[in-house]
Amino acid sequence: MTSPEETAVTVEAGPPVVAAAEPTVAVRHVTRTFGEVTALSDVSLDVAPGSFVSLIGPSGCGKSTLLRVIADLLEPSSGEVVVAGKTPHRARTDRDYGMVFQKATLFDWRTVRRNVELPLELMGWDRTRRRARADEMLALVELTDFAKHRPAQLSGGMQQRVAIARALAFSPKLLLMDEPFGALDEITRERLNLELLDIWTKTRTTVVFVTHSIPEAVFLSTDVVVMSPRPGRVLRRIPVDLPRPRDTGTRELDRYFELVTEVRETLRGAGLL
Amino acid sequence: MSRRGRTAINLVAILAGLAVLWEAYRAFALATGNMWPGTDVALPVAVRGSGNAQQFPHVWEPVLALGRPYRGGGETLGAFLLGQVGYTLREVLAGFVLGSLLGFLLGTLFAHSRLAERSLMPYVIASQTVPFIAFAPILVVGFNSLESFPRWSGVAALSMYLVFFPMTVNTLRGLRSAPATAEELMRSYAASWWTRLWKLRVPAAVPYLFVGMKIGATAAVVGAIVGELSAPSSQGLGAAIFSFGRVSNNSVQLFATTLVAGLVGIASFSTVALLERAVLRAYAGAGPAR
Amino acid sequence: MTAAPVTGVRRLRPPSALPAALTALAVLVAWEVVVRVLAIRPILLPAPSAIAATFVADVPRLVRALVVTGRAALLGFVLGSLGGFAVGAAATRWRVLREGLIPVGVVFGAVPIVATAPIFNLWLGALSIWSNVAVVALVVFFPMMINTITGLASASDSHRELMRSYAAPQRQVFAKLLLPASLPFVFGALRVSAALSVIAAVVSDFFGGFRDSAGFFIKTLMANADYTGSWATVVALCLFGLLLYGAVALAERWSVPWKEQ
Repeated sequence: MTSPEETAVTVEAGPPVVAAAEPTVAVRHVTRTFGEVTALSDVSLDVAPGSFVSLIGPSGCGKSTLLRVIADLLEPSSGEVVVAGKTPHRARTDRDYGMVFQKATLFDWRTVRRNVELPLELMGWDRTRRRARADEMLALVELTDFAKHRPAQLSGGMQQRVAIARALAFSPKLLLMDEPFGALDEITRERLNLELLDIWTKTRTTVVFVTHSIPEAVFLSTDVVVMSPRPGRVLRRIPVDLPRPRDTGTRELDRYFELVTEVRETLRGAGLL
Repeated sequence: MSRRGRTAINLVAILAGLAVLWEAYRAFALATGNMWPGTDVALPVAVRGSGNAQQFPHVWEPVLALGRPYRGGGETLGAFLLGQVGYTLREVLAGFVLGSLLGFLLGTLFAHSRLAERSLMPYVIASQTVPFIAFAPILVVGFNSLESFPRWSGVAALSMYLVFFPMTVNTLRGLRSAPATAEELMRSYAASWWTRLWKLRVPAAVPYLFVGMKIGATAAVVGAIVGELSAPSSQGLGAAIFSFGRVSNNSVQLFATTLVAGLVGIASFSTVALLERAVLRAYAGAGPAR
Repeated sequence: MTAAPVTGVRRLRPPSALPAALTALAVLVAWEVVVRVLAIRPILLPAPSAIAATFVADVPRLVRALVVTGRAALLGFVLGSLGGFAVGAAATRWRVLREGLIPVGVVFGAVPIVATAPIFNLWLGALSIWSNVAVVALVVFFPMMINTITGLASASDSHRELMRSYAAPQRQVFAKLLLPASLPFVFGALRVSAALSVIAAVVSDFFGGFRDSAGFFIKTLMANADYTGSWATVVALCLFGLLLYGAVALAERWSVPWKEQ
């Protein structure tokens, strides 16, 4: 996806890591329990506008729960969450965020284009505008030729790109991604990582990204948040100072290996590796 | 509460609700003289028909009727119906056993031979879309013309046919359900076709066989009842329903007989379902998605 | 990007119709020969040629019989399916119904519902078409109810979460997610019901009623020793059943194009 020409142009346009502005997501002392199980224990986290924050940790560390609390799909048991300066509920009804799940979660009965149109339909856009926007988004994920196909006719990677196009269709301030590439093979995954960075650069959307792949987290993020399970809490936040634009060469830099090692050491230090 | 317990309570609640609705309708129709109030439009079903005959009894009346003599005097309706149930169950059992065996054999043949499958399977499928039960009078009258067969065998033949179709389809589906990797594993042991059939495919098919047998258990009862009413001077539950239905002042007995027929259907299905649970539990295997 | 996609919905290669057609031909010929050579009595099995001759000669009567029985089947099919869908859809609103109606459906699925035909004859009149329609509708009702409940519950949790993330109102969730997700199940019930409705209509005929119905002819002609006439009526009824099933299958292909058949 990221052709050399394109990345060359976007060198200067790489989103700056802003720390000063009001955070897009602010999580303050959030605890969430499911019956006896404490899924999140006193978690605090800021996500600055334009940043790309990965939540990483083993199964049961509460990373998906945290994402759902931010998305107002789950309520915190205690603590406070602010999304785009509002309550998560208000942010959800204002459609301030788009969401991508591990499964593409496309509607089998809709064509690719009409899948991308779905949120726009719910927001009451008229047909012409919807169509134009969907085509624009399909161009962004390079699936223009597949607009009239049905999801079942696409590969897993392509389906996930449709899901990304759908999540971004209404230009949300925030993109929440729950292990979006977790079910894909390694090669497809690396390609989609590059593509996602390209889209992020173009749209300047803030991203919260849940993954259990250390290389993926380091490659993509401005910050990697390492979490530990039982109860789920934040171990450490590691800023990723790799140069941008990032491309396949990034994965061969010494600094990249240092950061991967740092994440791994954090997990090992907590007895998780 | 356990899932099963809640299911049972919901089931009872809904059946009780239906009984209440039944009684409410009855009371309403009696109060309004079978008319929608304030109009001269009749209700769909009158509580009393022509000649003041009862045709919408209290829910408990058919049950009570089982304990009373069913005509003039002597034998109670319950005792009479028990005899008819025995007669009908013989047909059901014969039809079910023969139909299941035949279906299993044909399904196995189809699993073995692509040619047989392609030649015959379309007809097995098509036969599911046509009202095969329409043959009932033809089969029963035909069998009855054969001196050497007892009278109930024609009805049993109809039941057999109705059981055999779902059994064939589900046997074939079941024998094909073993994963390809397991089949490859067996081949890697150089297992013969028979060994693969008995050690892999038949065990894999067991849950499907029960799906077919559960459909068959119900179909056998339907076949027996329909078979019994399609020839003159028959015996059994179907014949009893038919004759009570002909006489309009016997409606409580008609309801009671229909109720008993329903219970026979449920008993037939439940027997196979219980057997299924016992067998699948013994194998501790997972069944197909229901 | 990734490998070329599969264009067009993947379908199994249609199996050659030749073996099946040859079988039909062979069976018909063998049937004819056996009947003639062994001189089998027509009460047991008439020759196919005799059935065909009667069929052709009796077309007006057969059409009349199909109209009488067919319209009861069709009306009951439509009303029972609508009723089953309505109750199934209503059940998604109330948990007691949602959880209680499935076992109710299973119980009634095991019951020979066609045996209620005399009750409906009693209630609605043996000579009223509505008594036949009611039996058909009742038979068709339960499979549709169960499949509607199952179908409306078939959307995955992540699809529901997606709709929630869009803050979609309940009405939209139903129209855009639950309803389309249920369609394959609804059509599954319709296919079963197409066959069941003809069965219920003809059994209802057997219990008495219309003089011109298919069931009446099958039963009476058999009693009057007009065996080929009875057979021809069954053949006509089977053709009607296939037609109805085919119509539903066609409607399904048109309405649920995303499902491989």
